Amino acid sequence: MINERSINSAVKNKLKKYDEDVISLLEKSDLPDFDYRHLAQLDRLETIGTRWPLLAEIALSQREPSV
Amino acid sequence: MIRVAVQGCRGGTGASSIIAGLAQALVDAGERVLCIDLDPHNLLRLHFNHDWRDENGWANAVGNGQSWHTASFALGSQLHFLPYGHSDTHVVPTNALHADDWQQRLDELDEDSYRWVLFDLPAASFAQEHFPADVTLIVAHADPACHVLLARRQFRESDYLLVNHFAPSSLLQSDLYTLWQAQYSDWLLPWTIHRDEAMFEALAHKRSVTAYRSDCLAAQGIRNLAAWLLARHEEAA
Amino acid sequence: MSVWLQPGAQAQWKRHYRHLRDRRDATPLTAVLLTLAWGVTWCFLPLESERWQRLLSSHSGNFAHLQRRRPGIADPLRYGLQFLWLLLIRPRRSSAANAPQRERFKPLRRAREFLLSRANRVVQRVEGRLRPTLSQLEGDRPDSSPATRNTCWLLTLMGGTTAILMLLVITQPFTLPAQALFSVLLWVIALIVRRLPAGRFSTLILIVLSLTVSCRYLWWRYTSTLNWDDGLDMTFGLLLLGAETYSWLVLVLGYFQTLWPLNRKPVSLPEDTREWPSVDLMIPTYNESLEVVRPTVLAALGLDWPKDKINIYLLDDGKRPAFRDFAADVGVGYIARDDNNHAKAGNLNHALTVTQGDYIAIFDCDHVPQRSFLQMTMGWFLKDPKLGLIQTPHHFFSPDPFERNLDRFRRMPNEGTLFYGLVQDGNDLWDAAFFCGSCAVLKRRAIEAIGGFAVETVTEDAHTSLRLHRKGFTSAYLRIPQAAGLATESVSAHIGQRIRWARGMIQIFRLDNPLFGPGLRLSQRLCYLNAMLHFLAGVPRLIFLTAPLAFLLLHAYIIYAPALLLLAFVIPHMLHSGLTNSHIQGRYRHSFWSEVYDTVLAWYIALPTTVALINPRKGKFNVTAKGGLVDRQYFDWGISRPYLLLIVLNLAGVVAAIWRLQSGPADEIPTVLVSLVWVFYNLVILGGAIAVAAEARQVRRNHRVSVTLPGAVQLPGGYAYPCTLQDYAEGGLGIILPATGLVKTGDNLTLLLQRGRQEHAFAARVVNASGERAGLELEKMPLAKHVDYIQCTFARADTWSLWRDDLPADRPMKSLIDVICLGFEGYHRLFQHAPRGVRAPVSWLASFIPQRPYEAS
Repeated sequence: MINERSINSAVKNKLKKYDEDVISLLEKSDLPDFDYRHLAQLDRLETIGTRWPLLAEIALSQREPSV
Repeated sequence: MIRVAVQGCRGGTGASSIIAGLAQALVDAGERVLCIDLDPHNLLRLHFNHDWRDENGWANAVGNGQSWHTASFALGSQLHFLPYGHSDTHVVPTNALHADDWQQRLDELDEDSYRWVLFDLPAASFAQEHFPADVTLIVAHADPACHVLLARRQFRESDYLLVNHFAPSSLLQSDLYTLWQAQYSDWLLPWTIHRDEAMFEALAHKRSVTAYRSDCLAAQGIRNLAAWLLARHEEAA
Repeated sequence: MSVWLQPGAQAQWKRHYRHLRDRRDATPLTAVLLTLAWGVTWCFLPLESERWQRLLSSHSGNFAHLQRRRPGIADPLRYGLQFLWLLLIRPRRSSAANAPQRERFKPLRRAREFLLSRANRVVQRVEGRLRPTLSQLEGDRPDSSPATRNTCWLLTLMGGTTAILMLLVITQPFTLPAQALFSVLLWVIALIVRRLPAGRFSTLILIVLSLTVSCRYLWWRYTSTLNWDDGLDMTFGLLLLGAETYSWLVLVLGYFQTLWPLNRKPVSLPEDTREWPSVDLMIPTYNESLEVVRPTVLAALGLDWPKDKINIYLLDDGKRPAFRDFAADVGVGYIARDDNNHAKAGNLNHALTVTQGDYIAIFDCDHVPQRSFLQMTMGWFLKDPKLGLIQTPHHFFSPDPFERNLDRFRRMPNEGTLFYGLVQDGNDLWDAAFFCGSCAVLKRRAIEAIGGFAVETVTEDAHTSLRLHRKGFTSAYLRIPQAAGLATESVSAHIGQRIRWARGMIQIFRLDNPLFGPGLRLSQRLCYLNAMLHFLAGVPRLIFLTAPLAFLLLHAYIIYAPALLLLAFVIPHMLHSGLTNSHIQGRYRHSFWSEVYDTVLAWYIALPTTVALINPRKGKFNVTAKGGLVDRQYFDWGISRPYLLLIVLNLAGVVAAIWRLQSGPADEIPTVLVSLVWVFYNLVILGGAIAVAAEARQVRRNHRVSVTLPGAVQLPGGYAYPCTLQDYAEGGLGIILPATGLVKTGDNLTLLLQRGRQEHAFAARVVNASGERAGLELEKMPLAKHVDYIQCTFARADTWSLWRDDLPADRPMKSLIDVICLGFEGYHRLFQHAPRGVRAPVSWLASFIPQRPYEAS
């Protein structure tokens, strides 16, 4: 639901990694290089593997180097 | 002339509906659009109020030795579409996209005739040839089957992944979308097209969803898509 | 009547009479008299002709206010006065119509802009060349190139010479024309410098000019304006001089405090989250309701900090089982103690004994932390080992009493913005930023080193940070709001809170004076001193509000100098300090509003601060009520009694002034006029203070935030629509849908809210629907969902910035007019709430005043 036109191009790259409220905060506070750790998302990614066995299996095989 | 190819990562992801809606949204933004249906299922035309019985299309035309664009139809003045065509006398290999032929055909067209050419590709299948386009949108549902298929897919630079029929109430869909955000961060478009009954009703009314009910959530998602495409190519222009 | 008139005319008269009686609700006598008057006019003018009818109807808009009133016998007089007024003035135009006027001044403005741009460029070049030197002076980057060092010496030399010159100038007596010329020169320089981009360079120059003028003024007052002969004159004169000295001191210290705001930026944390420190997040509470506390706790659960490094504790001095159960449900710690000594400080001290985290984050129970709070603040602790405290601003979801009662929410900076936006930032440069009780993180080791939170005064927060500074710890201030809460809900609660702060700060002043005692640098002493002096403003403000009356009523010469000479000294002093303050503070407080805020508090803090000054241990601690309800509009007579007294006194002064103008000696007339202007100014400010006392209705008990956020709804049947979130609260929200009739009351739907790229679905029910708007109530949801909801709304990392952007900058003249209008509005409100016996005659008189109509569109 974000209209990309309204976000300037410098921020577009970050859009893929951060949430837009954090981006907005960093932009308004003039902190372009701040390394914000999106722990909520990282926590969620960890639990996904525990919930769905198929996804866990695929993730595991993707992490292992191809034989 | 900007070529946009839309392909479902498997059948039934709603790629045709998205193309129809996108075409209408681009026309609403003042663009001239040509839609070409490369899918033998020949569904795209039904979003543009086309007569179901009419079997004309580019495949028939080519098969009969006519020019490929004789079977084009218009919806309003800015939107033209080219159905696949349906006939029992044809046996066309469905996997072959004939990308080079299409390159030639588009070169025949006048530069200014259309700004956007949208291709409705058949659903991705095994050992399919690459169809070169300026932007390729891969449409997927946030479900385990698409997850498996995408895991096997090699993404190219101009590929983008678009999630359709998204239902945030579903924990699995939500989880998969989060996972794809991390995994396919370079290709996943930052919004989804939500599951909205209006999408299906639109086809039942023989319209695209943006024309049928422009204030619904799915239409908004498609308008975002149009805006994104316009913004991308505004910089290049 | 039929004897005199034809039947047609008779019908007209009757119709007119009936119109007045039935449609306009006039009394019989009035109707008869007015009809007669109309009849007389009709004898001379053909009123019933089409041309007259058209004329009357086309201009009826200009008399709209009279037609709204009940007809009165004196109506012809009213219409006559309005007619004369209309001859003089034009109707109010719409703003589009103003555009052609601007065109006329274009060449003038272009010339002015051209000159300004040239001046700007010159200054920018100078500032650019000076920048390395300035940063060298600041100590930012030790750039020891010879050129920079030379410029450093040059600037210091210049600075020293300027200072000496200033001192000479201050004490040099000028004749009246010389003083006037001097003032005009300095004023012109100030106006030019003010136009330059608001950098520190221009600020410094303005401060120098202002200090020159103000010091001159004060010197002159001390040396030439006291009358030692007359006892009464001397007493009043000394009182006023004392008040002015206080203002001068606060002005100077204020310049010192705010001339170089540090504007500290957050520092990133280490790469490995395992190195991040452990934090205990404490939420002290006493008697607030669970509705108010719940969002805070849920937001704390959603903070972006490793789960194993954060512990949340609810410190409940009320020992309520509901809170204990809530804490157990959501999985946070619950700490209750046996006694309730020393209120919040005691509560925190007790909690320190049962927790182990390296750092302590403190939030008042209604301050909702945003998810980015810890990542923004904790980096500095790791960077500076001596850091004991980092403070962030108190930002409010709801309007404070000034904003609510004066209807200025988010239209101008609110009362707290000056302190949290500028003053603390300025303090930070001198390492004097102090603890404000909430939205801060402290180092446990530092608190333990000073023996726990200070309990001797009622502002335990400021006292604690004073002790930390004495012990050698540093403090930091981050001016990015990372939490938001409820403002005080009524004027009386606001005043109660300020009384507590004032009393506490003066207690600290007496018991642990920052000017004396070990461990503080001079700059820290001055900053703390200014913070405390700020609360002593009660008595000086009262003196200013009553000073002209000493002359007007008691004929005491408080300023023993001719009026013109006084004006020549005072006007530059006021103009320069106003201009400089506007330049420095303009984004944080608009000009002249300080007068209103100070006046509202002046009466109430005068006595407690004086008592605390004399005997600091007297007086009791009272907790600020949070989440209270102002359920109907009312006028707080209790609070406004002192202002009414002052207004009456000043009105008496006006009467006395008029009497003196008529019958007093002629050479006193300028003095009387100056005093009269002063009295009028006081009346305007008092009117503003009165305006605040008319409490507007506040409907909600808990946080309700207005904001514009995108969302979506899923309706039964599978349809989905985008919507715009208009406001949200703990249990419900208001949305705007794209079309009418999509929902009706009682419908169940799913609300989709997005925070970043995470979309969450919440079950909700429509509780009211009208047109495109709908009010939703959220269904009961599991804890994780509730935390998500708080994350999508209250605890968004950018909550504060969603509204901060478009506050208009300060324009002193416009602000002055605004405050004057506020004063009149105050009297209007006073009048509206006045008892009927007072209202009726005044409104009767007021009906004769012609009003300026709006232009017919």
